[in-house]
Amino acid sequence: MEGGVSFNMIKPIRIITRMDIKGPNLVKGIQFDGYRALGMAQDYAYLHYREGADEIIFYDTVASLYQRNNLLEFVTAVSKHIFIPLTVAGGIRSIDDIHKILRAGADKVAINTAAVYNPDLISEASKVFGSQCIVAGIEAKKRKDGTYENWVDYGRQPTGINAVDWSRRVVDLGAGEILLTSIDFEGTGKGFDIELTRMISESVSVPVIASGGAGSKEHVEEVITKGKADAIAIATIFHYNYAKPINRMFSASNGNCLRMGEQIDEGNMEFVNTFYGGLGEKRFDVISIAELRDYLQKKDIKCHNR
Amino acid sequence: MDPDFRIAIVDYDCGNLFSIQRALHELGIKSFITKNADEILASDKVILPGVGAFGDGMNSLRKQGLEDAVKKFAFSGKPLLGICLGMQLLMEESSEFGQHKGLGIVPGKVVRLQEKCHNGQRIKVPHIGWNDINFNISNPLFNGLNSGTYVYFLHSFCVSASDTDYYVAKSAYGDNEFCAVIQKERIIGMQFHPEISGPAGLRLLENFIFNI
Repeated sequence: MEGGVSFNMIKPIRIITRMDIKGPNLVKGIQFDGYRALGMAQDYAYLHYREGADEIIFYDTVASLYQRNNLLEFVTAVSKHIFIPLTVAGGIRSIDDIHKILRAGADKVAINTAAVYNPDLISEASKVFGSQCIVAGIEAKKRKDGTYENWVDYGRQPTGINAVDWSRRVVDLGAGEILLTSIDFEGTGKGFDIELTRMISESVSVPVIASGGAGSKEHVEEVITKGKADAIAIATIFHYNYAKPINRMFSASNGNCLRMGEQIDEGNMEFVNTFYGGLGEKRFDVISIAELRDYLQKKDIKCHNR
Repeated sequence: MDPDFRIAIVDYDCGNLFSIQRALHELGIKSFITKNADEILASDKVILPGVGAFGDGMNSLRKQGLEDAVKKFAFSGKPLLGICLGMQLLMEESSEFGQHKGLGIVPGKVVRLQEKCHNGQRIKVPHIGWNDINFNISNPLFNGLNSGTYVYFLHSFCVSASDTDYYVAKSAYGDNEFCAVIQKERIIGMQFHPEISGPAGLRLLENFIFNI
């Protein structure tokens, strides 16, 4: 009997929206590069909450580069009206940074770059704030020999550290969850890196959030049943779903409205609708959070029922 | 609601106080955060939040001189809500990182969730994520909600009360069937985090404020 099915019956999985943020905008790139603005991040955050996301991860895309997190004001604003767990990633470098962002309204922080340079940050932070709010970020890229390496600085810098070894290390240090992103698959829509996810999930005792590559609901199902993911973080197929014009027949004239009716101030709808400006083949089957949940439940995967 | 109605959130450096206050604010309910024993005793309702380990939590309550105030408040018959670790602290003892004495407001102890399942599989502990809670809808604490509603959990331990009649909502994780909400008269404990459990969580907080 296939073990994956009964496994998931007893343990609901989480559907998390991942929002990459630059300035006031929600952005999305391919393999951590080539960003496009999709609209105001704040509008999307409220929209994902209303639509039933289990959690939201806010990723400050340029924080590591500038050595600071720029989401303090943003989190302060959105957390007043969003009552699901909020995780902030990017540019978290010190106990003081964590203190500030938690006080602003985040429930957890994800740390990668700073933990590689200073692993004690994970142990100290989990002692001060509790393991439950310390998420270790791992951004893995496959090496020629088939092993995986952890990269830092938002997928810009290799570290020479084996990703599986590192996952065990951060859990020993006190991380309560792992946010695992495949750099090779991120933004491509060709599915999650199942091998990577399964390897990490089976080597640690804490939940693993799989991120990077979802192009369809089947991909999500696969990373849960075969990749043993405990949660999935999704960007493109949700964002593009909600960024669709209200009425596609009039997309040229109504192209600056979200389906939910909010204005996109900085959006680049043509780019979105032609999928990377026509450069890539269309590989994304956009879906709403509710539709994905219904699909997973039909496949006997327990998840949050609203 | 009476404008002079005072809802205190106990600050003992162990909880996400502000998210609870934000949730109440969204419901139009005023609350204040306090470390002062007299202010706690003079309140109409008290919320005891909490994240982290049991021993640290109790030590911190004691160090701030709040242990007796919370106990006295609870035994006065006024409504007290413990959230997550705040619920566990209501019990007599816990075995998390050694034996620790709790507030002893509700008879029973705190035990670890089991990782092993009867079918040989293992679940991951801590239990992190949304899970369904089952309850009797006639309890005014659950007004407007359906049994089977989902809320957000984040815990490795759960309560084991001497009297399981105190369990007014239950949940299951792997082979663990555990107490999600405990109630002894007007003392309530929620193992999950209502303040980050979406509209259902807000409703539970609202019900505690208006119906208990």
